[in-house]
Order: sequence, then C-alpha cells, then structure tokens
Amino acid sequence: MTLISAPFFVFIYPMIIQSSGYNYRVQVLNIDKGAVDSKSGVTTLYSKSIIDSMKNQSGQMLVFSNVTSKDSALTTLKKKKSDLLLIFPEQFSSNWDEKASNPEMRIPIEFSGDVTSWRYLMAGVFIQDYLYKNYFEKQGLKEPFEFKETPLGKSSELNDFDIAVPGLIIFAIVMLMYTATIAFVIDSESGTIKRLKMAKVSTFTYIGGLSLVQILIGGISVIITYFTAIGLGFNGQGDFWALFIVMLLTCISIIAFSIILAAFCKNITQVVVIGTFPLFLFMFFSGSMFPIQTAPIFTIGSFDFGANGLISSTHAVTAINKIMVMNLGVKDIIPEIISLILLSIFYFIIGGYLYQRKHLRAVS
Amino acid sequence: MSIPYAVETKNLSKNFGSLKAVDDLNLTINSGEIFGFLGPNGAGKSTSINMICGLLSPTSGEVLINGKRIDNSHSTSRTVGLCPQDNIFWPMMTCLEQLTFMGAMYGLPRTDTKKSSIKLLADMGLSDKKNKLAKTLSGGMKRRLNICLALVHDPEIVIFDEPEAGLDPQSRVMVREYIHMLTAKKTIILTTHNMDEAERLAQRVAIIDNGKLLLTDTPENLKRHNGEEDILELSLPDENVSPEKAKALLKDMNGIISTESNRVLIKSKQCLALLPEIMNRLSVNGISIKQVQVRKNTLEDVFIKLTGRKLRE
Repeated sequence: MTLISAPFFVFIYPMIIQSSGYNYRVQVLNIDKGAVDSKSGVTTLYSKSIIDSMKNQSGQMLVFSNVTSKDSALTTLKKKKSDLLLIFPEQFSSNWDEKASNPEMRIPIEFSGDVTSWRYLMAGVFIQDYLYKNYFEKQGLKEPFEFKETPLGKSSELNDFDIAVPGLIIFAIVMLMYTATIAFVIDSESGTIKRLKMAKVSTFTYIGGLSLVQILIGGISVIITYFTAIGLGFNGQGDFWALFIVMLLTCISIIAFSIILAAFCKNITQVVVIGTFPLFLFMFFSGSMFPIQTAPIFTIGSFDFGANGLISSTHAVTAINKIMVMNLGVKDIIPEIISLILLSIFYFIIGGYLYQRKHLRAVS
Repeated sequence: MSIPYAVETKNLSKNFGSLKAVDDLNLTINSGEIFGFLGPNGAGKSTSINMICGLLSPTSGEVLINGKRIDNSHSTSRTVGLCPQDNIFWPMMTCLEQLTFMGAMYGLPRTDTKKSSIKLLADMGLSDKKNKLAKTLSGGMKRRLNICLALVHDPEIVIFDEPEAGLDPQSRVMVREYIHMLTAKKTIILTTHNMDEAERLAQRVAIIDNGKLLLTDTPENLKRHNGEEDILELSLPDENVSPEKAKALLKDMNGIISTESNRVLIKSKQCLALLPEIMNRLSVNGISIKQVQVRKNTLEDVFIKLTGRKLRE
C-alpha cells in the first residue's frame, strides 16, 4: 500500500483532470449600435475591431464565443459552461468617438461572472491586460475604459468563510466514509459476523439496517454542521431545502460507497489504510477542495458527465455552488440530484453484492 | 421409513491450498446423543464443525442435517446452534438485548424471544445481569452468555467448541450439568482436546487427527480397544537416573513396559501384584522412585496408541 499510493495518485490525476493547458471561456455580447459619421453617414463598430483583435492575439488563452442574449449568456455562466461574459454596451462606439474630443471620458465595458471563481478573475485579468496594453500603452489613450462588473448571482456577497463552507460541508460528509465503513466492518473484526452468518441474515436486512442508522447519523450531522456555520456568521445563501436535499443525497451516496469499501476490509486498521484511496479521490477530485476541470465523457442535454462523474461528491459540489453562489433552486439542479440518486443506487448494488460475497456467505 | 440421523457427513473433505484440513470424513450422529470430537490442536475439529454449521463450504462431500442437505434458508439455520470457543457477543449491548437481537435475526417473534431469553439467562445464572452490558461481565459469565446465544433460537442440534475451556471449576460444573440437561431434547456435538472433558460429557467420541477420523465409539469401548490393563506409573527422580535403565531391569516382567520423559509405564492386568517385585528390583540396583501411581486406561492412551503422540503435543 505504501509503495503504490503515491504512484496511484499520479496515475489517477491525468485520468480525471483535463490537462490541456489553461484556457478561459469568454462569452461576448456585443450590443454596440456603432458610431455614425455625421458627414459620411457610415456606421463604425469599434467594438468589432477590438473583439476581432482580441481573438487574434489571445491565442489559446481565451476562447471566445459570441452570444446574442444576456439572459441565455447568464444561464451559461451559472451552469459553469463559461467563465466570463464580456458586454460591449450600446453606446460603446459613440462613446469611443466622443473620447476623441473628451480625453477624460472613460468608455464603459461590462464584465459579469462568478467573482468567487478564479477562472472568472483570470479571464478578466487577461482581457483587461490586453485592452490596457493595446489601447493605453500603444495608443497612449488615457484610461480608456471603465470596467463595470456585474457579479453573478450572490457571488459578490460572499466572504472567504462563506466560500469555504460549502466545501467544508462536503468534506465533512465525505469523512463519514470512515465511520460508516467502520460500522460495517466491526462485526467482521469482533467475530460477531459469525453469529449473523449462522442466522443466515439476509444482505438486505444487514446492509439496510446499518445503512439506515448511518444515514440518520449523517443527516443529523450535516444539519448540525450547517447551523454551526450559520452560528459562526455564514451568510447562508440559496434555498435551504435544495441544499438539504443535496447534502442528504450526498450522505446516502457516501454511506453506500462505504459498503463497497467495507467489502474489502476485515478490520478497522484496513479501513484506515485502504480507505485512504477512495477518500482522497472523493476529496480532491470532486472539486470540493479546489476547482478542477475535467473533459466530459458524454453529455446529456447541457449536463456534462466527466471522468470524476462517478464520484458522487462531484455532483454535490456542483449543486451546492449553484444553490449558494448562483442562488438557483431545486429545478436547476435536477441533473445533479438524478446523478446522486443513480450513483447511490449503483454503489448500494455493487456494495451489497461484494459485501455478501466477502463477509456474509460461507467461506469457500 | 428410517429415522434420519441428526447429522451425517458423507466423504466430507476440506482443503486449504495444499493442506488437507479434513480428509474424507464419514460419520453419523444420532438424535439426542452427546457426540464428542477429540483430537489435538490442528486436527480438523473446528473445520469439521464449521462445515456442519454451514460457515465453511466443503471442498467435497456433503453434510446432511436430519437427512437434508444444508442450505441458506432460515429453517436450516434454526436447526443448528453454535457455541464457539471464543466468546462472541456485542460488548455494548446488554445480555437481554443480545439475545432478543439474535432471536430477531433468526426470524423469531419478538415477544416469544424475550420470554425465552429471560428464561435462558435464568438457567445460566445470569438473571441479575440481564440489563448489564456484556463487556462488564466476568470471564465465566461471558462464557455462559456465549452459550445462551447458541440456544436462543431453540435449535435441535447444539455444537459446543471446547465448552469448558477457560472456565473456573464452578462454571465448568454448571456448564456440564446444563449440557447433560439439554440432551433430553437436543443433539449435542462438542469438540475438545481434553480427554477428561470428552469422557465426562460424550456418549460417543470420534478421535480425529490430521484431518482423518481414526476411531468412533463410546469412551469405554475406545479404552477397551486399547486393552483392559491398568497402568502403573513410576516417576523417577530427575538427577542421573535413566528410565531406560529401569526399563531394562523390568523387561521380563508380565506387562508392556514403556518410558516417557522420567517415567516408566507398565501396562498390565496385575499391576498391584507386580508392584513389590518391581520396587525390589529397582531398589537393589540403586534406582529410587519418587512417585508411584496406578491408573485406568484413558482416551489419551488410546490416542497415543493410534498416533504415537500425546493429545497436547
């Protein structure tokens, strides 16, 4: 175990995390009406030349897509399909013309995105840097732009603690994996499993009974965790019941996964050693500790299922971010809820089968 | 129609890799009998028991309980109760909770189980401990709780793995008497490496060694198999006295003479009559005797005759 643990994680990392280099997805909404030359009557769109120039010069770093509707663009942002929405307002070109006679004037450009996301921040920095270099340094324009920022959802209202709490809750739920697995293993370790085998207790009865207790404990634990955070000043955004559903389903999925882990363990020491592997996967490859980007394996509608999609906490993190940062409700996290339910069922079936073969039937 | 045996094994074998733990075991156990497996550690007793209980799948052969092959149903599980050698219980449950829980696991109605559990605890002298956590019990009480757990579902066949091991004398008497009382309604199988335990408890004994069944009969018949002679044991002082020298001096006497560490053993129907002559010969040749003991044939003697080894080797 000691020998293979480090190579294992190095092996797993590129399997899950997309390492195609960093690029940031920028939606461009150009509602600029253009500037009409009073003499020739020609309309000039200065915004278009800036956009084209940015696209040519940003290389791989920024990936632009044009949008025509602000609402659909914001929806795309909320679904994390885009990192930043760049808006050229209606008066952009006319303001640009005006600046020629009024150097003090600053032309508004609007950014919108999740201000808690480093991807938004990086995309914004790159765009600002480009505009600064090309229109301030090169052309000597004095502070040409006024950058207006429209935070997405409630993202600007969150402080560091508020940002950390969702990940901490998921982290706490994932840690239930140890205690739940121990609950399933303790009968094997103490030998009392022998009595249960003699009684021919069914897998459903045994697994179901223990699972229900663990789910109850987990459910109470997450409620206490949530209200502890509230008591410590957590600015609890979003629909509480949507949050509770996600946390409870995550708890159920973790307990279901614990059965799989318990199938391979005979005592608590093995739980601690072997359990490190899946625990690490659930903690670090789900996005709960830091954001990660994965390549989708398949897509259903607008829902991407990546390599870490088999890790239930991945969907929990996505759902909680939607609820707490984007202020979305239950109907907006239906794919994540379905994923959590299906994964839980999958884990229960696999875990029940393996546990029965390893612990509950006659030794062959 | 003939009454089926309570337990029957047919060509029962179990291999663990290249090790043949049980080798072609064929035996029958009658209903209401106390049947003993006698053999040293590693003989295959526990492996045989685990296959009879259904905890271990045989490599080949079969086990029949009341004429039927064992399966995974509740009805089969309720037929056999196991009192394992190690005390197996839930430390954080009370005695009564353990029994009612196990009754529920066997699919028994809760109210009936509670009544029968209270009676069981009373029979085992644990009435005043019924609401105490199991981890607080003394060693002897834990053993008795272990027995209760084997009986909570009122099985027809009860298997005791080393029932008296680790018990104080008072508890041993209680367990022994309880096992005798059980035979009125149940078939008892016990495993032991203690010949005294086997002789005291079992009506029939199977001697098993290296996975093979050597002999099965009543203890008396087994001892008769070894001969009806008594055994005279002469213990020599440790220093500078060779038992072989004593053996050589007695070789023409009427009996079978053998040595064992610093003892000389003479097997004869006339041990007491030979004693004065034996003492005289040894004394004349300067060999003193530390202790003289005359005893009957034991199952250990039978085992030694069959295997050339002692039960505890």
